[in-house]
Amino acid sequence: MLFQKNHRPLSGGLALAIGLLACLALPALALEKQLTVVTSYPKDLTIAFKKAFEKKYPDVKVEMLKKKTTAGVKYIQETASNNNSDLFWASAPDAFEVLKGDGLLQKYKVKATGIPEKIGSYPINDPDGFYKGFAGSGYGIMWNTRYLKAKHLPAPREWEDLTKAVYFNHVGMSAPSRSGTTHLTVETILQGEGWENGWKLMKEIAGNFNTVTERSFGVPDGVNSGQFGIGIVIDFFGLSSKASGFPVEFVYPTVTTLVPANIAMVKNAPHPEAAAAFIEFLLSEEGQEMLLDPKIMRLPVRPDVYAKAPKGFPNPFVDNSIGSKVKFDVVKSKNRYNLVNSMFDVMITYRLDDLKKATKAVQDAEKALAGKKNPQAEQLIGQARALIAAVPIDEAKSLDKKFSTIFKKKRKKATDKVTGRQAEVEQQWDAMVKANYAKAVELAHKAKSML
Amino acid sequence: MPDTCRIKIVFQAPDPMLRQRSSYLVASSLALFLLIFLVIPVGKVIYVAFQDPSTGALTLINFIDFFKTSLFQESFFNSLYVAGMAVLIASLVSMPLAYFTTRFNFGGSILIQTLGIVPLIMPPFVGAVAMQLLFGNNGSVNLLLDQWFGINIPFMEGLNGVILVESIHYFPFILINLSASLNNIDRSMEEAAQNLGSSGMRLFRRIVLPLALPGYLAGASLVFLKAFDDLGTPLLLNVNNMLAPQAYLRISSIGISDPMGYVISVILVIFSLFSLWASMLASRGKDYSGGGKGASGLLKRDMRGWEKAGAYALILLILVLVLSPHIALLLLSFGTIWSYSVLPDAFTIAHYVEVFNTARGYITNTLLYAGLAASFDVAFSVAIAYVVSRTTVIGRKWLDYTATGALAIPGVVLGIGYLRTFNDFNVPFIGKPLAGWWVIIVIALAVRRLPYALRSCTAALHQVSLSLEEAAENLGAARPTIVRKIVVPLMAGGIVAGFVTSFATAAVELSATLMLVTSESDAPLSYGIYVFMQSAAGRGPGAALGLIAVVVVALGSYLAHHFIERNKRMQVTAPGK
Amino acid sequence: MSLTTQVQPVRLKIEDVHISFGQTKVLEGIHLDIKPGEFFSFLGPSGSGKSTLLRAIAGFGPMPKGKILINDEDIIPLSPWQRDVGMVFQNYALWPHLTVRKNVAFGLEERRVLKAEIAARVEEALDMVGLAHLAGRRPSQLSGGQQQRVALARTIVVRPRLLLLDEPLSNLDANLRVQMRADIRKLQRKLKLTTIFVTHDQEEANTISDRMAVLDKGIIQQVGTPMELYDYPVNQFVAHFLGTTNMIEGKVSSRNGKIVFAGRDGLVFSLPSPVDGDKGAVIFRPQTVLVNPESAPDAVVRLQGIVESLEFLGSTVRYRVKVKNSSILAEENHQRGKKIYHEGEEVQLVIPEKQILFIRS
Repeated sequence: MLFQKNHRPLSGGLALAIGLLACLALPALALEKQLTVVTSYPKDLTIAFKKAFEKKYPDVKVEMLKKKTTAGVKYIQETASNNNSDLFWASAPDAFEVLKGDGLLQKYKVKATGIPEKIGSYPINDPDGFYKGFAGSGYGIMWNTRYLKAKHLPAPREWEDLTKAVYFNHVGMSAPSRSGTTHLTVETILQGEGWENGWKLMKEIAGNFNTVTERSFGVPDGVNSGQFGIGIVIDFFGLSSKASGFPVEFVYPTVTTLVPANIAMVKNAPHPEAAAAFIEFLLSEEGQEMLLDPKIMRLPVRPDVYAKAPKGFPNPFVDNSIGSKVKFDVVKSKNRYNLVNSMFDVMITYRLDDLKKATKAVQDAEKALAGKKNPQAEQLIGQARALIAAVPIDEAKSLDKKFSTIFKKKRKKATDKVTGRQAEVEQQWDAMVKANYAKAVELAHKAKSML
Repeated sequence: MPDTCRIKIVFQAPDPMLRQRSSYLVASSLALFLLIFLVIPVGKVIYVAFQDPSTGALTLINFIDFFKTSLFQESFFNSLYVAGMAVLIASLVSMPLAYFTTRFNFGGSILIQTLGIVPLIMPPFVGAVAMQLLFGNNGSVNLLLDQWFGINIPFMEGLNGVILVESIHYFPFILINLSASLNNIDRSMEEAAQNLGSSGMRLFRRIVLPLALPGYLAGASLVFLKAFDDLGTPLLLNVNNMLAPQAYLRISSIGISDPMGYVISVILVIFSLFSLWASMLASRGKDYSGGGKGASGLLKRDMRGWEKAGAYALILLILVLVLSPHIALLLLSFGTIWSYSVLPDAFTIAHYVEVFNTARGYITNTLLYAGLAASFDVAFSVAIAYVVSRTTVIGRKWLDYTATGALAIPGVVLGIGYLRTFNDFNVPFIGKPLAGWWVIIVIALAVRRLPYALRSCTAALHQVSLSLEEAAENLGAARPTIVRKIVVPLMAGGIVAGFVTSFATAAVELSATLMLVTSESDAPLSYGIYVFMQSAAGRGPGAALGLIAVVVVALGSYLAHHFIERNKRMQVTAPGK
Repeated sequence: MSLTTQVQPVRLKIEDVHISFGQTKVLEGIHLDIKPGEFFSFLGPSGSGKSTLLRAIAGFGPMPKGKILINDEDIIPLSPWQRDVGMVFQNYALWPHLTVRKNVAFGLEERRVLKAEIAARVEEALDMVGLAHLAGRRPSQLSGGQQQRVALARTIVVRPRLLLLDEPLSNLDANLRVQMRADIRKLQRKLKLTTIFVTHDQEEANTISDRMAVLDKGIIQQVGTPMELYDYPVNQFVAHFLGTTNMIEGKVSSRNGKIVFAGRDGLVFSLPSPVDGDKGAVIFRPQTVLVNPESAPDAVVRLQGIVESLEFLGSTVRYRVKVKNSSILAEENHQRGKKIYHEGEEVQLVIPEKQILFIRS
C-alpha cells in the first residue's frame, strides 16, 4: 500500500489520483513481513521500539496503532471476527484479563531468561501464560512546583496528605473506568486499606479533587499546564514530564503497588513469528535498557539492567519501599473490575460537585473547631464524615459473583439469565450517595454554627 | 439545415419514460449508499438499546431506566442548558458581526468573512488545552486578573467552559446563515419601513429581524444540535454530566455491555432529529429571500470616523475572543514550557522541525481524506438536491431527510457501527477487511459531513431558475447534459461553499476516525494530534501540528472562496450588459 | 381623522439639485416646481435618473446637493423617516412576514396612533383599494394587482404630504395596468395629494399626469402638460420619446423671402414662421401626413415617394414611404373598405405646413 511510508510527500490532485489508482491496482503487496501492535503507549516509547526493532529485523515493518487502553480492548473485541492485530501492548493487567476472559489472547512461552517471578509483590507474568510483563510501573503523586509555590502549599508525600484541607480543589485524577492504570491505583488502595477504609480514603482525597479527567494523560497534562497543582499518576507520566522540562516533581508514597506493564499476542495474529520476535526483543537486555531513556522511564523487569540506570533511578529490586507493602490479589480485582469502576463513577466522578460541597463544609467546620472543645459539634462532624465515606455495598457483596455479573455480563447466549440491570443498581446507589452528601453538608453547617 | 435541426431535436428529446427510469436509478443508488453506510451501521449499534440486557429480547425497559435515573435526567438538562446557552452566546457574538458586514461598507467586512470561518477549524485536543492555558483556573487571563485585581473568573469551570468553547467554536454557523439571509433581504423592505416613519432599533426589530429569522433559525438550530451532540469539548474539559459524554463513556468502557450508552445515543439521535425537524417547521413558508432583481441586500453605508473606530474595536474584541484558541495554539506551538505562567517560558521552532521530520504523513493523509470526502459530498449532494427538487421520484424527500439525519449521529456511534458492519467484509484485491481499509475513514468523513454540503447545494439549486433548464431541454439537451453543463456551473458557488465546509470540518474530525484508524501510516492529522498529545513531550509538536492543520485548511478554504468569487464575477460579466 | 378629510396639499420645489454616485454624476441642475395637488410624472428611459430623483425626494440614495422644498421647508437634512413622504415601490416591498392588515397598519403604529383609530383607518384604506376582505392574508397569497393595491393602501393610510409612485404599474399585465392607472388617478383626486409618478411609458404618463418632466441623461429635457410636450417638443429626444415621429435633419435658409428648410437628401420644406437658429431638424408626426389626399389645405409640403412597407395597427395603417433617400412614416385612420397602398406603389405625401416643427440642434 502506498501510504505506509510516512514521509511520502504527496500533493493535491495528483496525490488523490495516485492514491485511488494505487489502491485499486496494487493488490496485497503486504505479504512481506509485517507486524501490527495495538498499544496505549505514547509516541516516545513506541517510536523508539519500532525503530530499534526494525533496525534489527529490517524485513519487518512495524505498525504502531495507538489507542487508549479501553478503546484498544474495544477495538480488538470488535474486530476479532477478522483480526488484523498481532500484539496488544499496554499497562493495565486488567485490560489483558478482559481480553483473556473473552478468549482473544494467544498463549506464548518466553524464551528469554533472567527475569524474576515478581516485581515488588506483583507477579510479573500472567500465571496462565497469556500475557507477559516487560516493565514495572508504580503509582505516585506528581505536583507542579510553580503552582505549589504560588499557592503556598507544601509538597505532599503520602496518600493521606492529599486528604488535608489545604489541598482542597488542587488535586486531579483520572477515573478508573477511563484508565486501566488508574483502576489499579484504586484497587490497590482498596486492597491495601481494606474495602471500607479504602473507599473512605479515596473519597477524602476525591473531596479535594479539582477534576476527574477523562484520559489518564489528562492528569499529567493538567499538572504540567498548572490547571491543577497535584496529580495522582503513574510514575512514567510524572518522570517523563519532568524529563521534558516541566516544573514538576514526582514521589512514590509508601503504600503503592508496582505493577508490570504487559504485552500479549492476540489470538489468530496474522504474523505470529514477528510478534514473537518483538516480545523477545522487548525482554532482551537491549530492549530493557531502552526503558531507562528519560523520555520513556519505565522500570525494567531485568534486575541487571539497573546497573546502567542514571543516578537516582528507582530500583524496585533493591529498594523494598517501592510497592512491596500491598499483596495485590489479581483475581479479586478482576472479579469486581466493572463494579469498582461503576461505584467510583457513581460516588465520585458524576457526583464530584456534591462531594466537594460536602467536603468543603466538613473542612470548614473542622477549621472552626480547631483548638476548641465542643463534643456535640465534633460528633456532628464525625457523622458528616461517616456519611461522606459511606459505601452502598460491603466487600462481600462486591465479591458476590452473582451480583457483580450485572456489571460485566456479556450476553453471549440468550439463556444467560441475570437479575437486575446496571442502570437500576446505579440509580439506587446514586440516590443514596446524593442524599448522604446533602445530609453531610447539613450536619457540617449545623456543627459550624455551634462554634 | 432546418430539417436536420428538427431531426436532431426529435432524437435528443428525453423520453419521459427513460427519464423517469434514470431518475429512479440515480435515486435508488443514492438510497442504497445511505442504507449501507448510514442506516444499517447505526441501526446495528442502537439496536442494543432496545434489547433486554439479560434476555436479549426486544424491550423498552432501558428507556424506562434512563428516565428513572437521576444522573441521566441531570445530564439531559445539562445538555439542554449548555446547548441553549451556546446558542445564546453564539448569537450575541455573530449578530454584531453579521450586522456590520451586511450594513456597512468597510474593510472590516473582509476581515470578518475571512476569519469568521476559522473557529470552525479547531483541531481536537489542542483546542481545549489551549483554552485551558488561556482561560483556565490558572490560565493566562486569570493569572493576570489575580495579579492586578486579585480576582479569579471561572470561565472554564464545569458547564461554563463547555458553553464558552462550544459557542466560539460553532458560532460561524449562525454568522454564515444570518449574513446570507440579511444579504438576501430586499433593500426596498427596509426603505418602505423608513418611508413609513420607522428607523433604528424599531425598524431592526420589526422588519429586519423577522425577515432574517429563517436564516438565523437555520444557523441557531445547527449550533444547538452540534452543542447538544458535541462530545469532544465536555470530555476534554472533564465534564461528564452531559448526555454525549455519558454515552461515550459507557460505550467505550472496558468490556461492558451496558446498554445505557446506546440508549443515550438513541436519545441523542431522536432529539437531534427533532430539533432539525422543529427548525424546518419553524421556517417553513418563510423563505423571504428576494431572488428577484431587487434583491440587493440591506442599505450599506459608509461609516463616519468614530463609528469606524468603534466598529473596528468591537470586531477586534470579538475576533480576539473567538480566535483565542488559535492564538493560544500559536503560543503553545512556539513555546518551550508553558506552565502556570501568563506566557510560555521561551520560544522555539523545534516543535515545527519535529513535526516536519516525523509527521508529514498525517498532513498528506488528511488532505487526501478530507479532499476525497468533500468531493464525494458535493457530488452526492448535487445528486440528492437534484432528485429532490427536480424529479418526481416517490419518497425522494426521504433521501434528503436521511442524509441530513447524519448530522444527528454521534461520530462514535458511526465508528462502532462501521466496525461491526464491515469488519467481516474483505475488500477484493486488498485482502483487508473494509473496516480496516483507509477508504472507510473517507466514507465515514463523507457521511458525517454530507449534511453540510447538502445544505449549500440545496440552497444553490433553489436559486437556479427552472426555466434555464427548460431552455436547455428545449434545445434538445438530455438530462445528464443539462445537469453537467447548465445546473452544476450555475450552482458553482453553493457547491464550492459546501466543499469548503465539508473539507474544513472533515480535516479536523476525530470521533469517528479514532475508531477506524487501523494503521498509523493511514492515519489523518487529528489522530496524529491525539497521539502527540498523549505524552508530555508531545504537547508542543501536537500544537504545531494543530496549527498547521488550521493554516492548511484555512488556506484551502480561502483559495476555494477566491475561486468561486472569481467565477461569479466572470459569470456576471460574460453575458455582457 | 378620515383619509378623505380635506387638508391643504403641499407644493414641492426642487432647486438646483445635483446627485452623484461616487464619481458618476446621475442628476445635474434639476429645477422643478410641482403645484399643490398636482399629479406630476417623471418620464424617461432607464438610466435617465428619474428614479434617483424620486428616491432623493423620499430620502434614499446619495445625499443630493441643492434644495428640495416642501412648502418652503428644505427636507434634504431630514432622514427618510422624518419626511412624511409616502412612497410606493416598484416591487411593492410588502413585508412577507406580516399580514395585509399589519402591513397597512405599520406606518400608523410607527406614528403611535391609538389602536382603535389604527383599526378604523386600516379598514378605510383597504376599503378604498377594494381589499378589505383580504386583510388577514399574507402578501405571498395575493396576486400582483392585489399586492399593488396593498402597497398603495399602506402608503396613503398615513396621509403623507406627498405620494411618490416608483413605476408602480410595470409589473402588471396590460389590462390591469390600464385599470390600475385609472384607479390611482381617481384615488389621487379624492385624496388631493400632491403626487409624483415615475414611469418609462409615455402612454402611461400622458394619460395620468397633469404635468410631466421628461428626463434623459440626468437632465430635465422639458416640463409641461402631456399635450404640450407631444405637440411642441423642444428637442429631438423629447420628440422621439413621446411618440413616433418623422424627423429630417438639415439647415434653414431664406429663399425668395420665404423661410425654407433644406434636408440632407434634397428634401425641402417651407416653414410657416421664422425660426431661431439655422441648423437642426424638422419633425412631423406620421398621423399628420396625408397619403394621396383628394383635397388638401393651402399651405402644404408635397413629397413624391414609393411605398416600402405597410403595417396594419388596427385603428390605423402605417406606411413607410421612400422619398429620395429618406423613409417617411405616414399613418392613416383605418376603416372598412378604405383604399390601401401596397409595396412598390407610387404615392404622394401631403404635410400641412403648420404640422411641421423645426427643432434647433
